Amino acid sequence: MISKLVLPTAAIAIASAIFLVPSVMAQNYGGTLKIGVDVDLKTANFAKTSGNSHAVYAPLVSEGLVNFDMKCNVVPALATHWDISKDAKTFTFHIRKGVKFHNGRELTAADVKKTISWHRKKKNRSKSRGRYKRGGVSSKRIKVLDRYTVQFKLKTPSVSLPVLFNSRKSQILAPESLTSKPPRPIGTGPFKFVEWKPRQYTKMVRNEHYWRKDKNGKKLPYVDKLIIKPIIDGSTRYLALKSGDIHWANSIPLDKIPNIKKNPPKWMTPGIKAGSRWWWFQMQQKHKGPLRDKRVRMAIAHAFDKQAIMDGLTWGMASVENQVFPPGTNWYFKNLPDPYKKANVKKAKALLAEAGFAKGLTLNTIVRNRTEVLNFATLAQAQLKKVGINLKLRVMDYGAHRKTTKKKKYDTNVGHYSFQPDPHWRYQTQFSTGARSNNPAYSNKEVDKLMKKAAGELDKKKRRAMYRKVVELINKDVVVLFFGHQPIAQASRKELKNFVTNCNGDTQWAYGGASNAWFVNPSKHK
Amino acid sequence: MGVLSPVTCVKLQNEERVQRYILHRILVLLPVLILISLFCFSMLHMIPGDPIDVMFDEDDFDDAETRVFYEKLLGLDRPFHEQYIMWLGKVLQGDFGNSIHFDRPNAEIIWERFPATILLAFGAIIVSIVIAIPAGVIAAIKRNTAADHGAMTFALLGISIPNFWLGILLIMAFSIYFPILPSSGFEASIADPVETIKYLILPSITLGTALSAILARMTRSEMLEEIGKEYVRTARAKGVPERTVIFKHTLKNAMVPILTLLGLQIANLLGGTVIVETVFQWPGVGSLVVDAIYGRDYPLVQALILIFAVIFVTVNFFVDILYKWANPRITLE
Repeated sequence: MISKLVLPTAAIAIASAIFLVPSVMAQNYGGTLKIGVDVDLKTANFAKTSGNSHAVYAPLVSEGLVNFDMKCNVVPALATHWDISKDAKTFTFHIRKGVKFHNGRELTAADVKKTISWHRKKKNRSKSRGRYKRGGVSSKRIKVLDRYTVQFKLKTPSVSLPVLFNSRKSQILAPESLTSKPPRPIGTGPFKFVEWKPRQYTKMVRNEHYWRKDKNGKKLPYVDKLIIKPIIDGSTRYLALKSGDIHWANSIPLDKIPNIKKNPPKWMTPGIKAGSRWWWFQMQQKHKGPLRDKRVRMAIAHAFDKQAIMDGLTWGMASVENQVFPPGTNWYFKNLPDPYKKANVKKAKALLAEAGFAKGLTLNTIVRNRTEVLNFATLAQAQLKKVGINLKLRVMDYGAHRKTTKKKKYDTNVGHYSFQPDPHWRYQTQFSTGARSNNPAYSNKEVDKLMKKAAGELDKKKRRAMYRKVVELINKDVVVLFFGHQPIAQASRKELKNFVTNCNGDTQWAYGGASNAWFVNPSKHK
Repeated sequence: MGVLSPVTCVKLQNEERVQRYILHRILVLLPVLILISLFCFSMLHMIPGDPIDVMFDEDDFDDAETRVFYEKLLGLDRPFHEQYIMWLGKVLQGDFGNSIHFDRPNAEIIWERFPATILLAFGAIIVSIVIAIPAGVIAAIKRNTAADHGAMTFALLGISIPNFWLGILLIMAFSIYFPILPSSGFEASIADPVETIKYLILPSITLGTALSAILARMTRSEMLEEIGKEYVRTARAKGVPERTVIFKHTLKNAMVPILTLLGLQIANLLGGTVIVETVFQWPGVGSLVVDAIYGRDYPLVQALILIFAVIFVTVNFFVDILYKWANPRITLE
């Protein structure tokens, strides 16, 4: 009796599992993924692009020796591992075997040397040249040891060198494609470049030989084609997503978030999370003036209600932080002392009076003409007014702002900077005395000494302690005030699954992005 | 030996006058273009920041050596007048130079973007004429009635509504709530004209609405002026059908100032409309020139300004010729 029931029951159970379990549980291959982004390329030659457009487009086609994981920690990519000498001056990278460029040729150590050497040559006008130069990379000191091993020698120690070769900024392209006309980048990434039409779209197709697999060992990417549409205006991008003209948007206007959180639209999968771009307020130290007096700087720091500013900028989505790295990342320091976290207007006024500015003062403030930066400046202006400080805002476009910043012709400056995965590439470049990116002319010999030592420190614990001290000192000097991190607001349509980005909101990263996204019903998205 | 008839003499004199007029306009064009280019060149160099400042972001670590290299490469280390003369010399030989940021010939970049601008300008003009001329004529014929007030209220709204807001509203209406048109983008395919028109409709309506508002008001006021004239009263008294009075006589005479306005608007539209291009992600020259200015892409901006100037002068020239057609009594001086 029992045996007569077992078989039919089992058959029914198996049939149910096959037919009733929704197809969303299985990754489906096929379809054309359309994504909307807020930048367009200036050229299809990825060896010559830089900035945000490069970070969005290039990683889909090409990769670096290392990549970033979900928390923006460095993980192997085209290099399986690397050895660092005791003096942190010699780095030996072991190239992953069997990785093919889109033209079918295998990636070798020689390609790594050729690509980086190409970037280092001035006449090639690569935007990466400065970065490699800054990192101490010279073509004369790159050696190919064998087919899959390449070695870099530096003049000064730099533990963070591997970070320089990341898949976000420093990809390895097939050397034969570096100067192709018309430009056609050939990399090892999940997608092959097909076509770029300025201000219209960039077309890519699946790389059938992509070396990375999903966690079940299945091939990536899942989609057949990828079309990237540059939709610069935020509202238009959001409407394009809503109408279904695109399936994923790399940035949706922050003012939409409160409503989305309250009443999540049925058609949308939101991707809202803490981000990594860090807000700052700089006080110029180069020329003589009130800001050279630490009491004035402390007064400004005390006057700010940082949480109110972050709430105003991010619609309540960000917390106050007094360091570059966001919570959850490797280089975030917990429990850093922060005497300026909450506003103290009384103390601010007292300090100003002590410094001889009881009647207040006016500060020339340069502001880049981006909406969120202007918002920040306006909020800062309103708060400092309460203590008698008048921020005279000079709004300017990127070119004028950059020129004025470099010439240091301002008292205060506001803005946000992008994420760098290692403290050397952020703290060193912006806080060491005389550094080109040290715009407020900050100088602290102890900070310089610590950072120089940390650059060559192989012991992770010791290095971490050094940078913690660096951040404490920077905060104590009150030349640059940190506020918090700009959240990431992305979204996809429900018919698209698993387009997950990392702490940087990258379209493509080590274990996710466009390569890991798939359609519930690919046949509807040809 | 034949003697020319008075009619033939007048015809020959007119032809000679037109030829002199055309030659005069061509000769005046060159100094105008030089003046415009010099003015533009000066203004560009006065704006703080140069192409090298814009080329790099904070993470590119451009150093002093890099700056010197690029200054030399782009000729920015030379005195202002030398830079201008070198540029002018190349332009007179037909070489518009290379874009600093796109690293391609400017002529190629501009050529790529112009079809989209022409298409959009054409679409906007069609929309504006289709709405404005009938609305203006009806408002004039039925003066001080509901039709007149309705048409003029529409005209007021058309001028007052910001076109970026109208654009977003149209996208919401026709791409989301009644999804019959794409929300943004550009398609230009001879093989698939329907798809081309689909993408063109919303930006054309957005752009054409404000233009139609101005045109409708002008049509109404010109028509009212013509309707009040004696020849109209005479024609009506002679029993000429009203349709003929309005469309054959009155409207034709009212067209002269309307043509001027249309001509100026076409020239404006061909210069690109950055806001509509941004809202609809339309790859026209408007957004190109704004990006080029932000990027301090001196050669590209110069090339674009020159082309806009030529377009403006040429369109005005054709408008003058059209005057003559609309009103043969007008002499070209």
